[in-house]
Amino acid sequence: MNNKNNNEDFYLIDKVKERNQDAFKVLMIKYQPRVYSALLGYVKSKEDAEDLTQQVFVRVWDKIDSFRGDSAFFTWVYRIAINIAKNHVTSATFKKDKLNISDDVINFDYPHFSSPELSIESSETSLTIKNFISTLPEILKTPFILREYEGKSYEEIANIIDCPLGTVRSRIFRAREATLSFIKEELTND
Amino acid sequence: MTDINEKLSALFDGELAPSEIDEILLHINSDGIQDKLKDYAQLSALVTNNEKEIFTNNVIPLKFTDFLKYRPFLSNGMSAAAAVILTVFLINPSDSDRLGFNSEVQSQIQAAINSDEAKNNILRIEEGLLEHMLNVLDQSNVEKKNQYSPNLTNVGFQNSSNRPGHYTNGRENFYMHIADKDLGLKNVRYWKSGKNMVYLYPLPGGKVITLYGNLSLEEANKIISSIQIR
Repeated sequence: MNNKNNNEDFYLIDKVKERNQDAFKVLMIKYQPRVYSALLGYVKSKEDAEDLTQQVFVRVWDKIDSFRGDSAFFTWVYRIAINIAKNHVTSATFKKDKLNISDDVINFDYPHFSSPELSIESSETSLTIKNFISTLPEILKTPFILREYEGKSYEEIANIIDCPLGTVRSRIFRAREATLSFIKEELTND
Repeated sequence: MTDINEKLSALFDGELAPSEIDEILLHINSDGIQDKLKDYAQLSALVTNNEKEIFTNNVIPLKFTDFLKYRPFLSNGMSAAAAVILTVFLINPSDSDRLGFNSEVQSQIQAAINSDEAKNNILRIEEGLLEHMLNVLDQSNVEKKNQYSPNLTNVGFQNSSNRPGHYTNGRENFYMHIADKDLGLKNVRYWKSGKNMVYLYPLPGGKVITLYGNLSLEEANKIISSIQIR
């Protein structure tokens, strides 16, 4: 994750520290798939991974003041996730713990990623999508890959492909939209 | 809508100015906004799929006790070794060469860095090896009549008469186990297990020899080299 991304996280994090729930929603949506997937690799149960992911963000909300920005935000979230996963395996009070979350968080509309076509456990789906991305026009594919796979900032990408920042932003957006359209058209079972 | 979605895309990438973030936050509860952000988040997780790498790193220390917690199907006998801490090492390439083994493990690891599929393969192999190793540690405390116990006097080790598979030279002690399965092992691997070491040697014909004890790698290589496997 690049510095710019971290900086933006810090802006949102500062807002979360002020108890801004909308900023928290953004962070939660942004990192939920990665946290869930990490936990799924740890506990091997989708149901547990979902429950634990929710616990992670409850903890993030409760402990956000202790995040000092020494590391990337996701690194901090990830540490919380692993600690919760470890406790889950050993704690007989896991079910009880789930009920003891703080009131201001329990009212959150926890983000659910239920689209079957976007199942992050499916390596086949992942491969199909990667193959599609490889067929994108070069002007879309290159900035998108530099962003998603290389973690380059828009500024770095602009320098690499020699075009304005706004163009990079637009092309990455168009690449995302094209990929999402492909998923909805080709990978949805409806 | 395109404009707000483009901003959401940039927001996801951490490329929005604070004023633009504030603008997004004003609309975050509007129809479709959160769904679009979720789409971008999930798409990113799908295409990068990098969350598994933390669990497939070949050189992370793995606490035996933690491993047991996540593998509840292991036998109760395993708890006898529950205090053991296993740390995964990769064999030194020069040692591999000396034994005539190729460097496939190193190649696999390099491939794992570049390929998610390879990472998953590495993980499966690693889990299989660990499970096998834990079983061997468990069996080392059980007397088995048909235990594989070759004569190792030519390399200075005597077999303990009442404990098949257990050897000593007075200073170093080890337990030997042979398995009729290759475990996906293509090269020599070794682990630290408390004060002892566990060495896994793949053999022709899909067998694996495990040595468990306070052996140096040099001694372990010497022992393996002296064994005639049929």
